[in-house]
Amino acid sequence: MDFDPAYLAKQLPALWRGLLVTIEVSAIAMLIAFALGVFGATIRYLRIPFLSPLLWFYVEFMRNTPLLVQMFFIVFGLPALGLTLPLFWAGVVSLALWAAAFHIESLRGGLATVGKDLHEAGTALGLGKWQFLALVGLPLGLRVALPSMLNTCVSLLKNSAMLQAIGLMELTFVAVDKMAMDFRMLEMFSVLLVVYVALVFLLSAAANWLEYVLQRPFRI
Amino acid sequence: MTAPQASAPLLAISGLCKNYGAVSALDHVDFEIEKGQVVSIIGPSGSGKSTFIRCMNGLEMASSGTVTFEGRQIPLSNQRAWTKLRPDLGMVFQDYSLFPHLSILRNIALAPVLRGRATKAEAQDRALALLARFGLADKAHAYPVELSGGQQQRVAIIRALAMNPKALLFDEPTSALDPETIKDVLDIMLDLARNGMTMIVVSHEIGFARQVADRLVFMAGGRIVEQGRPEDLIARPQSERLVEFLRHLAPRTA
Amino acid sequence: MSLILDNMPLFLRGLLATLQIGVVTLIASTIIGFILGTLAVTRSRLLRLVVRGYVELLRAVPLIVNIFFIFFGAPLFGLQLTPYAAAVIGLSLWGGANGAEIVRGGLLGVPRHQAQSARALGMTEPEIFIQILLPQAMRAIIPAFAGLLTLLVQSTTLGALVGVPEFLQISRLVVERTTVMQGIDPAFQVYAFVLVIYFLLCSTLSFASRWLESVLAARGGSRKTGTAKSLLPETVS
Repeated sequence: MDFDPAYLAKQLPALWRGLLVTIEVSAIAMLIAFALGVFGATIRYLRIPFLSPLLWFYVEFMRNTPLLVQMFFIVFGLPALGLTLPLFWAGVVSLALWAAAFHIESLRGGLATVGKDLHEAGTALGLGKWQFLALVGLPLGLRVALPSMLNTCVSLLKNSAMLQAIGLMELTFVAVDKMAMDFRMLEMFSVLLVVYVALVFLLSAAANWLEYVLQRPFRI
Repeated sequence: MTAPQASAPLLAISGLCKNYGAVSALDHVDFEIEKGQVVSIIGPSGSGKSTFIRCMNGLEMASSGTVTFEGRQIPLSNQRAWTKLRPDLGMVFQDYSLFPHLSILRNIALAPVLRGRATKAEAQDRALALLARFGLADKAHAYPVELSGGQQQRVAIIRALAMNPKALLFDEPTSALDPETIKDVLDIMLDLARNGMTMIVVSHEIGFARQVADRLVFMAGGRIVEQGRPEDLIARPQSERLVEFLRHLAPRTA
Repeated sequence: MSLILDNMPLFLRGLLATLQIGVVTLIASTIIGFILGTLAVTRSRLLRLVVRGYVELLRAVPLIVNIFFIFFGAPLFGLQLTPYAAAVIGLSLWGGANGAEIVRGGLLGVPRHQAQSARALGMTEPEIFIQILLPQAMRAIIPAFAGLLTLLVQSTTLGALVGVPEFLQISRLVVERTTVMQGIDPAFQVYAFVLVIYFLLCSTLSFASRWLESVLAARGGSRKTGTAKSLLPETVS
């Protein structure tokens, strides 16, 4: 089977639309996951009764079940409870809930590294629990947790390909769909390979840049 | 001038250079040691003394120069030749470097068996005998983490001895130790020196050098600046740098 | 609940297939991982670069795309693969890449002086590798591979998307069949059941991994040889 550029060119508009869906669904999920991560880690850090152990269980549950099954449950299972989400938002929610579990754990670990001495210094300065968290704890804890949180973001982007299985027309769905119709495997796999490698590379580069910027106060 | 074979140096080094990129760590160093001699090497940090001793058994590859052991020149970049040579040149490191996953007995008996210098039973007997001689018989079946730093370093010396080496190299053997355990290690080294072991010792223990060293070598800037009998060198340093170095060392060894 | 019980033989068959794929791919990943991970610490720059490229490529492409590629792409090379074979190969190549990282990290975690002092004792490079480096690296490697098994078991679900009759695929069939034949949609109960079973299975494996790590760390004394957690990708992707 030969590589046919003309065929590929004809499919580009559809692939482009798929790529946009991949980027949109991932970007929105990343933002929500980040917010949930900060919120959840704060609850874990402050050991808020009932909520904190609940979140511990949530994190363990999400990390020890396959994302694909979580997606199936959200898309096909939840409607039984009257919870029917549009496909796009079902994708966003499943990716965000999954990534949030990893964020909570990373950030909880990051907050745990903020030492007791800093805490005592904060208390001595008259900072309240919340003030300390907002002014010292989170800024420092986020820096520690950042590398693994950014890793989670890269994983989220790659895992958006699983949404193919629930019928969301993102990049992988479009490519596999074309393959099933036209049997042009080579062109489509080349596209998937190049695009995902490029996306992961760009996201990693952005992550490294962010890390570099945030570490600025700690460099001489 | 042909020297008779008997008095040929055990280890002879000439014109040894070691460059890291543009930086020169060793600059044409010449050095000889005869069988049964003890040589102490001192010098400020960055003087090249550690690099020098590591070039002697090929742990670091010198850039140029010659290393001659028992009259045979070792090709600098021939790893196989170095591997063959190393059992004859035992080495003791600053951080002991015992193998943490092996018992003390196995740490000592491993290499002699692998190199075919002894059967397993012989190697173990010899290891136990050495441990007994240096007061560590009860530690044979312990693991390195269970020993103090000084005990670990004594085991490291025994491990090197178990190979029946023709010379021992010491790379700052006491600088990672607590003051109270340094003496135990130095005692073993003194014992070995008095019993005729050929030793090259990179260390700031001037006391050790004064007691047993035949020669004291002072290195700085990748060169040997001065050398001679320890008492002469300490009493009448010729170079500015050695005067300075001894002045800084004095409070520690007083 | 009776729905679950009625279909229990089917579910068990699916679960068995899942476990089987998990174990087979773990073995294959271990073999690939040890070979590549060892090559990744050799002196040859070329070999190191090749391994790096393999690992980076398999980590950059989504695992599901990788499995699709094996399954749909095999005919390009004149091969016809069953879904089962495609899933096993795809997962093994991915697991092998992660295994290589684990082994490489474990070997690099052994302090450099260990190899040097072995060299000073006249040991040869293969002897140093087998007697000194590998035994110490295993402390970090074993728990990490146990953790990798958890990830592999989770990723077997991706086999469902090419039609492997593993646990998730069987569950999908049960949902479809019940919907068609009885006119009720049992997706909620069935997928909740599937989630719970996976949770029990994977958290047991995660627990075993953590337990192994603590046991081996305690036996290994105070030397730090890198922890399993830092060697393992935290997620499937």
